[in-house]
Amino acid sequence: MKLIIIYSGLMGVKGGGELSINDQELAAYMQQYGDEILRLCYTYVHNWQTAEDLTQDTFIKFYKYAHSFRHDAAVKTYIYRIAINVCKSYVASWKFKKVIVSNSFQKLLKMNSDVEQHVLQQSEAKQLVLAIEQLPVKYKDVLLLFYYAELSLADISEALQMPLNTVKTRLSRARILLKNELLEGGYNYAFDKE
Amino acid sequence: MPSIKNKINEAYEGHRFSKEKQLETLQAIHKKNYKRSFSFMPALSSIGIVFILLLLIFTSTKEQPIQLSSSSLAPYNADEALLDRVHQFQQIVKDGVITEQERRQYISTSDWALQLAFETGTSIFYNRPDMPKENIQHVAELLHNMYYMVYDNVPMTNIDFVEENTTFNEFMQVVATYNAQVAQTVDTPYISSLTEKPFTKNMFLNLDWWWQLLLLGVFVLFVYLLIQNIRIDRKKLAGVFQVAFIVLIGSFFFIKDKTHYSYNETALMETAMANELIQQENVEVIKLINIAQFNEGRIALFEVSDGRLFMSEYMKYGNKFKYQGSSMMQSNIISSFGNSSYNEHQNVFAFPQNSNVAKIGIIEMNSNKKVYLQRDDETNIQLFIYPNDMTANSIHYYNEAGEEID
Repeated sequence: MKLIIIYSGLMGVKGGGELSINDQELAAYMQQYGDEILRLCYTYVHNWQTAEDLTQDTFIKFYKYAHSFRHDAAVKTYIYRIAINVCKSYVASWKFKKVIVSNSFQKLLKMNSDVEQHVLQQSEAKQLVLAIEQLPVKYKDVLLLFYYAELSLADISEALQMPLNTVKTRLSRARILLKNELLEGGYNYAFDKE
Repeated sequence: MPSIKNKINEAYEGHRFSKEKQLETLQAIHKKNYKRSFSFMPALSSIGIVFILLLLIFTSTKEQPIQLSSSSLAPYNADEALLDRVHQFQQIVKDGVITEQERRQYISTSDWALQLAFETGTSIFYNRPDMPKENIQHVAELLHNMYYMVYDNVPMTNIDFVEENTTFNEFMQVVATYNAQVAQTVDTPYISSLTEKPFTKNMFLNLDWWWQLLLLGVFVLFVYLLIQNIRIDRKKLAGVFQVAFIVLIGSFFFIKDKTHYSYNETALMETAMANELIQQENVEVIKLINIAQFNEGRIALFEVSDGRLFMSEYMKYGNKFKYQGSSMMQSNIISSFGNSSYNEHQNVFAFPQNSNVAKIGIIEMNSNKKVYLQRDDETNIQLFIYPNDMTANSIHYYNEAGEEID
């Protein structure tokens, strides 16, 4: 047995290090992280149907590339990384830009003096979420991964493939932007985690 | 304060990644057959790199042919030698029965030198006339087929035998048909010596195709494993061994083939001149005296500067004859390799030019059984075949008068 293990090691064959997924395991991961990924995607695309599709894409990509997962980070980090990349790709696509233009035009037509009233009637949670949604993407990524996915700074660095110091800087900046955004809306939000 | 996570969940309450969507995801995976993908790029790029390297090796190591002999100075005429051989063949197969002595005598002389003279057109032994290419092929093949019909002792009379006074040109008119008739019972295929010449001096390119495929396959495999290791696994010890294997196997692509082959007279001469025994004996190779092939063995006989004979032996591997060893003749006669098949012994004898041996006799000491081989004056190398049941033998040499020579 030892010889086989040593030989496998010499050959560079991936023995215990490979992540291989079967249907049951994938279903378990979808059960565990599906809702979080869906909501994460929504913060990018503002459309539940599209968010569902992107969530599906995330898990399909996870299944397809699971064998190349290096185990340097947790599976959760890996899934979130895929999700963010899927969302960013979609946001950068022509399809999404067309949707944004169309929606913006629709909003222009509907815009009236009741906007302010409408905002005041939003719950605190929705105010917060709206503010987060409006953050620039590079700050929103870090904020969501830290506060919503509850990843460590090191995991965020791995997920977004950026230096740790950059993560810290962006997180700090995100908090400031969010706080200012909420203050403008009349909410003084204190972050429960620094 | 409630966390951001709770706030987001509260805001998005009611929106979930539904069971239906999860099932749809599983179905989509299987429908589109999302397999753990094997990336062909590393393997393909490895193969590509190897082939480019091989191409460079091939183009840089291609052997330049060296002409050492001139057939115009050759002592014998190939056309006459051919006709002599054909008549000799006809004489023993015409009646449909080949006696043991007839067989022994016919196959004792090799046709390889004559065959080579026809195939290459350059020979120090035979002067070949200008001939159409197709006739060259037929003649060379015919020599082979005649030899093996007698060797295998399967005579057939269904051949359009030619008359004794048939000229060479007349024979060339019918040689294709004649050869086809003789070939009917011959199992051993004819292989032209022209195909034996190694492609290059590169060892890898001279290997048999399945060896090349195996080495290339193992090389590509280890390159792929190394790339995967660098990209994904990052196991240093495995990487070291992978690099070591790659270097080891890769070295085969660059090693020069130092094997000596016997595809023509020039190659034989070059091998002899570079021979260690020649260096040790501090002599020079003066000339190539004779060459012969008997089944899967070849012999080349040389004269060296101190008057002795030097003999090189080659054995068949695949479609090439590789150098096996050499010996220097100490006495007047060399008895070379002897081997046994299932029903007979085979001994090769080599004679100096001025040898007075006219006949060789092998006598079985227990039964006193005797077999004889007449010396062929036109060759210095002869094969002596005798039965397997002759186990305790003595060899005797006789001169023209029939007297035994010491």
